[in-house]
Amino acid sequence: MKKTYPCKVLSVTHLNEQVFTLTLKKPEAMEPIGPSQFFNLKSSEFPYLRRPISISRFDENTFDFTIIIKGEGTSRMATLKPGAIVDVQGPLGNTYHIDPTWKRVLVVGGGIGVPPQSVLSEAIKAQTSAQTLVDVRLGFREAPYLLERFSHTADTLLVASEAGLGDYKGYVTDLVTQALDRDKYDQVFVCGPHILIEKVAQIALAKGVEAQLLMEERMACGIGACMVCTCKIKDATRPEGYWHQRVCKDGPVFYASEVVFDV
Amino acid sequence: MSENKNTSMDLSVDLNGLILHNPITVASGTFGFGREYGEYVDLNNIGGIMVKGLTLLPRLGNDSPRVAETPMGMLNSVGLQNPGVEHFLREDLPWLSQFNTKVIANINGTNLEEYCLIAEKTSVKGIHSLELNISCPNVKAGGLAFGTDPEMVYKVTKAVRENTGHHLMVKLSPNVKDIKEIALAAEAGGADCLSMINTLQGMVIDIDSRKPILARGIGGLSGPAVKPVAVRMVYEAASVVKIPVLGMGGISNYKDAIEFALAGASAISIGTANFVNPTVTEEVLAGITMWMRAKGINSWRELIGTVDFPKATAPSQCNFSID
Repeated sequence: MKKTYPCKVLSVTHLNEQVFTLTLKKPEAMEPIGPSQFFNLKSSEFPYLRRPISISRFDENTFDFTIIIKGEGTSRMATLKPGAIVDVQGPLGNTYHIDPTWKRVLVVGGGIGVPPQSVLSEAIKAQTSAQTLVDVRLGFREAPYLLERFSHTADTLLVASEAGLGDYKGYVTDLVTQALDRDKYDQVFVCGPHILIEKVAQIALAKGVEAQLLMEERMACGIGACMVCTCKIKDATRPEGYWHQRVCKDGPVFYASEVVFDV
Repeated sequence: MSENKNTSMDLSVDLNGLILHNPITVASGTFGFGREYGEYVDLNNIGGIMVKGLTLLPRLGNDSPRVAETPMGMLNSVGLQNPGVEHFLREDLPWLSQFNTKVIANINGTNLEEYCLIAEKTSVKGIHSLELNISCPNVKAGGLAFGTDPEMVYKVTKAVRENTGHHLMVKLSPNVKDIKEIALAAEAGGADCLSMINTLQGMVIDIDSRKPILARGIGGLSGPAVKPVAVRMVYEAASVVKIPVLGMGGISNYKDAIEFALAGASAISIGTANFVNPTVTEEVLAGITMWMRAKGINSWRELIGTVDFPKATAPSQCNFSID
């Protein structure tokens, strides 16, 4: 039987005023964690429901969740003290698909969508040949964070910042277009705000390159039972042309070619 | 952990023809078709499973967002997304049938004919009871429209009753003026049992965007926030009907379950609490067993309706009486 794990808080590290990394002690018995997977976290401090948070780093003994303060739950999470207990359910959801024969891939992250992509970059490097190139393009509103997490895995790393605090002043989508114009890619991966995911999906598909999208949605159960976190996925057997799949169970990764974006 | 070691302890309950080996069931819409939570708990330890609400044809459900957190609870606006009754019968029922638990089909329609048709389709071996959902707040047609008017409750219950030989429970809405009148109408229509409460209609607004969180604006409130309302309604309904009442609404631990029993519930459902604690069903069962043993109570049935308070009085004017 699966179960949830009470995990001790090791540290809460603030990356800026809004973003922090929660580091927990990892249980020994936990299933292996794949890139793009998430955990449904609960602490007695939280309002009521669990909080689904993507994995942003892990090793044998610890795991990290890099979180942006959005509301009541995340702001209380930011005040957790070392020694506090967080109840952890997971790993949950599907994982990014990585093909070992790929020669060049583009990893795109925006804002709080950047941390999960560092796990992806590591997984790509581990699962592909030494010749496979991993180009990373990241976007931030203001100052970048967690760039060091890509230092060993990115063959090229360019950072866009709307405030001009990166390599490029503006949106990361410009860097994505440049990359796809210049080089041939086997796959694009993107995680970030919904608008970024949609734009990158469009840019990649227009170039004939498939993209894997790490989608986000409000969740409750996190395991596919409650049907509240859905994403429109093309389905030719349906009169509407799509079906509502579960982001938590059928996702969170979907292919750009199968997602129906709302107008 | 939750197996009843004391052989003299009797947790079984007879819901007027539907016998559960223990009084713990799970609320429709919170437990899918059992597969997901079957990875966390032994489904043999659950008295009955109300499956996700079924419709005749596959149903897409509402747009996202479909969930909004509230103080001690949540709003949902799923809109009865389901793969359709045929798919359930073919793909899920055979799997569910391997467990020693009662399978209760939550059935939905947009008119009387549809309710009757789906009742016929679900009156098959492997399904032990039909839960007539006349209280879904998240669909445009049917649902709540049937559940808030005593005349309609009577009509739809009677029509379905005439189209099934299966055990029939009717799931009542709390979004009504007088729950006693509605309960009596369902009883008069031929319900074997009542299940209650469905969610309370609610709304959450984001003050920055000035828009509701839910795509559909309004949704159904569940979780501990609704528990006192549910306990009161179970108490009122159980006071006036002769058929058993299955109580639900915010049950998160064994104390809540016992509270519902005292109010008049013969059995209980756990719903939203599954989302927060995926092993809550087994924990409630273990807690009830422990509490009963400590109190020297040998039978769950001894608890039902024993709140130390006079019964609620029946409505003075009621058009429905049992023949």
